[in-house]
Amino acid sequence: MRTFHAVTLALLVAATHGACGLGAGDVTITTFGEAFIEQQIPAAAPDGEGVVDGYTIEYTKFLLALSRVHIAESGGAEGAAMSEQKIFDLKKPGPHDVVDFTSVQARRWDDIGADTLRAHGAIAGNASAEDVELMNGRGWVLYVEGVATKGAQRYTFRWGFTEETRYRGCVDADEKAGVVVPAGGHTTAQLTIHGDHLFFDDLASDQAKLRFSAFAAADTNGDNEVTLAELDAVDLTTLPIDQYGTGANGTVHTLRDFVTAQTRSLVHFQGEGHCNIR
Amino acid sequence: MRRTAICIALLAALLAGCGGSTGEARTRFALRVAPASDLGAIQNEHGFTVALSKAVISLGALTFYAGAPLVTSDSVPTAAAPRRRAARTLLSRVARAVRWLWPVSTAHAHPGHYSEGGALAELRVDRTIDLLADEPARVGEAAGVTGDYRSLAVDIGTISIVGTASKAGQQPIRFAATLHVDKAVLGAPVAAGFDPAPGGAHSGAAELQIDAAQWVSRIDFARLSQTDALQTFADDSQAYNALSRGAYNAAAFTAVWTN
Repeated sequence: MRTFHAVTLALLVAATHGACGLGAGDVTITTFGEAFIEQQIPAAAPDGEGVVDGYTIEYTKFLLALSRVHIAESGGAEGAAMSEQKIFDLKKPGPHDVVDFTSVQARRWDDIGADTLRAHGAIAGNASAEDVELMNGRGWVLYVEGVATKGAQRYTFRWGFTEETRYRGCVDADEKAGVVVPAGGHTTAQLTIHGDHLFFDDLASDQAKLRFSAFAAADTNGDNEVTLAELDAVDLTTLPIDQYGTGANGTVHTLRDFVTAQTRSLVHFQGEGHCNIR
Repeated sequence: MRRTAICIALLAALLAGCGGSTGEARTRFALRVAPASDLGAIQNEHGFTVALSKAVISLGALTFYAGAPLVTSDSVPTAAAPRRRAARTLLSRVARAVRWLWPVSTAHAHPGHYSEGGALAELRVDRTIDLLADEPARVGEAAGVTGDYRSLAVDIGTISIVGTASKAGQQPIRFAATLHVDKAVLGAPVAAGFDPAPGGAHSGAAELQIDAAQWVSRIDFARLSQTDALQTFADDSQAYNALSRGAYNAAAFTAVWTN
């Protein structure tokens, strides 16, 4: 009898660790733009977080096309996957539900991920019909609008990107992989979008800082709108040596290349967790 | 009886019994730095043909990591990578024990950029390498643990180059430059097949390949004085900036396994 109880306990522990499935549960995948997208990226206070060259950056629109949101066993079976492509406006207060997976085998699914692909036949996640049409019509993966201000200076930007990324094997900030689906229960997992990354000044360094001055200086026609074409005219070798380092990405030569490369680091997991990028 | 059953059961659960995998073990491997090739006629992005007669680099520590390199969009992690990540997670307790016995510095995740993952092996080189040498430079033996070697950090001290840049119809430009980098280049790629065996029981060795051509690939030599005097790069010049960015470019460094 005692041995029977021990085996029962073991099975419960194993299920908690996600080793072997017992029953089924539900998972809701959400997405969230955090304060940096929903509100603003503030100018840095002394020794504080924010934009170090004094600009405040506020998005007015942040549209992202999410596809193939899924949970799976790494290198193995897929637990569930979203079949549609959905457009989300992360400027709207979240978190926003992306997809509900019901009656999924209860266990740890250690490969959670999503694709950010060019919009094609996408439907609304939480975005307006007009914004969905915009994304599908342009085939954009990401579209951002915003304004950067510093005193009397004011620059706007409207940028659409087509660089596609596949995020796989997401882990949380404690390096725990994926999500545990509880038997007979429900859990949530969040694809957290880091909107500040577009303005980091290094693709690799952990000392990267948020800046906007180089973007402002790119406005060579003086209309106070910074366009991607203007960013394309800024060779990184004309910027300070200690800014806009490109790590191992040898194809990044201009400021447009740089901000485009940053679009491939937007999707994170459960806040500060990260994913493998393909 | 009951206590024994519980212990066995908990051990099975803690090892997450549905999947099998292997752990990490101590290893050592020799490392050499390969001489550069094709430094006599480098075609750079500004239309110059550059010939380097000197290309030396001083190296500090090399650290190998499990994290994927920061790569261009056409580079894709191997299909087996997620499974290996899972194996690392499941057996992290075992790995921590190995690391406790054979410590390697800890890496931390970055805010969304390059993420090193666990440090696997280290080697202090602390010498200057002539990339125009005829033979590879044997620089020592790295020590660490087995695992999924995917990226590399390279501490660079100084880079020094001498050469000539030519363009049709223009006077060749002779130049010399020394760059004090004194920082780590992060996220350099480790080529597939880099797999040191437990206990160092392997026949091959690691080789660091340095593509010095990338150091000069973005220099616009037309911005230097067009005289026959030897040109040096002022700190605020495009040439110095481009050389610096070339030197910091992790794509110029690749670790491969050779047999």
